[in-house]
Amino acid sequence: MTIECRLFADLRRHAPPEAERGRFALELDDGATAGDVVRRLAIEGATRIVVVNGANVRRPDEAVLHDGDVVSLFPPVSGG
Amino acid sequence: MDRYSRQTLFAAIGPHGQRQLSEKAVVVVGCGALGTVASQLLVRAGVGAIRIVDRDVPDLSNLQRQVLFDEDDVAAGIPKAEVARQKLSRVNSEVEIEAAVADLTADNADLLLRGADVVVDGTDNFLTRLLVNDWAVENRTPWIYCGVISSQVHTMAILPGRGGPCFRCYLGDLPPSGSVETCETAGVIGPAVEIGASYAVIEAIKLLVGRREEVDKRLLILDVWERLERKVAVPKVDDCPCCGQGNLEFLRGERSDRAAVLCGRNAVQVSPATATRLDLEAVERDLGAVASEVRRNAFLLRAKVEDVELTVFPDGRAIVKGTEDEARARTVYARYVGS
Repeated sequence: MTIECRLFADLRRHAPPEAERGRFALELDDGATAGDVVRRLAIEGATRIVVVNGANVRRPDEAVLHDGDVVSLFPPVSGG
Repeated sequence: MDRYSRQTLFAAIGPHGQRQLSEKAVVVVGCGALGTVASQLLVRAGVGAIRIVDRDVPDLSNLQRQVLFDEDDVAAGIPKAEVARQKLSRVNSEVEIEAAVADLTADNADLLLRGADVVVDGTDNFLTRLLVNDWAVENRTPWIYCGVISSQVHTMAILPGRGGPCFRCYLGDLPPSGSVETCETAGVIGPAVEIGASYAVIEAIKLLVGRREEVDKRLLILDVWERLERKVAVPKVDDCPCCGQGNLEFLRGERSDRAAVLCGRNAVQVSPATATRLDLEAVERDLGAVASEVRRNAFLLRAKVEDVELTVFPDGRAIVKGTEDEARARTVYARYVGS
């Protein structure tokens, strides 16, 4: 299946070079979860908020994805 | 005409809320981009007392977004907290304004935060926020987290002791160095700061005027460039080290840095291992032979040494500008200030 991944703030540096404003398509095996997306991008330590199709996901490993889902990932923000 | 007439016409505040506001004290920790905007809004709104805590002096690269400072302030080298106090005193002489030129640490957190009805976040790092959070949880004092980077804002009201999450429930542990970008590497735009600080101050004002039930406890995420807005309910973590287990390791000083890179400044701050009081006049004499452009005022001493600019404060802190290498900064500190 293919999902759309959206990275925000400084997580965008982990997006592939062809991504525009942190948005890109990601191929996943059937049954993959939002947690798999975070691990695939190797940003476990830098991600705090995981949103699937507009809804906040508290347990990303339990959020099974489907073709066409949109997964948004947010880091903690420290500047000021 | 009452100076607050437009504000008291707003029904959620009204004359009663205005009186409440005038009896309340706020501490703004950090007087950079967020802190200048937040302090100004709170002073104009008529909070009773405000303490502005900041460790830094204005720099030319601050002026793009730090609204209380101008080119004269950069040239004069007066600390940010003191500049803010002077300017805001002219804005509203009814407000008791205190400048604390200091780095908030485990040693002085209770002294600097005590008496606050609300603490407003103007810091630029997670270490200080976790310290504020520890103090707030211990003292059951609300504080408003706000962080900005690039065009993004994250802000959340933390209300300890009321069953909701604390900041550590959201953040987890301190992110490892290098895992989170700073304003130095990712940049930040002025409107993001102004909008973020404004949202933070709105929640602070709700608390200060007695409208606690109207405070939105969710994390607000904005991207002001993309006009994205999202509100996320952050769960309370039952075994949170801070609010769950009461392990206030940041407040107890078990987690503190001696050197810290300053956001967006190409500079490192070095703090003395133990509290100290420096005689700047004596330091000036010592530096005379080895430094150039040595200048001293009542608040600090500044000099060029080697390839960096050294700013030394009476509390023993120094800002080493021209490097982001903490070890190098410690070396310069040890070499010219002594540790």
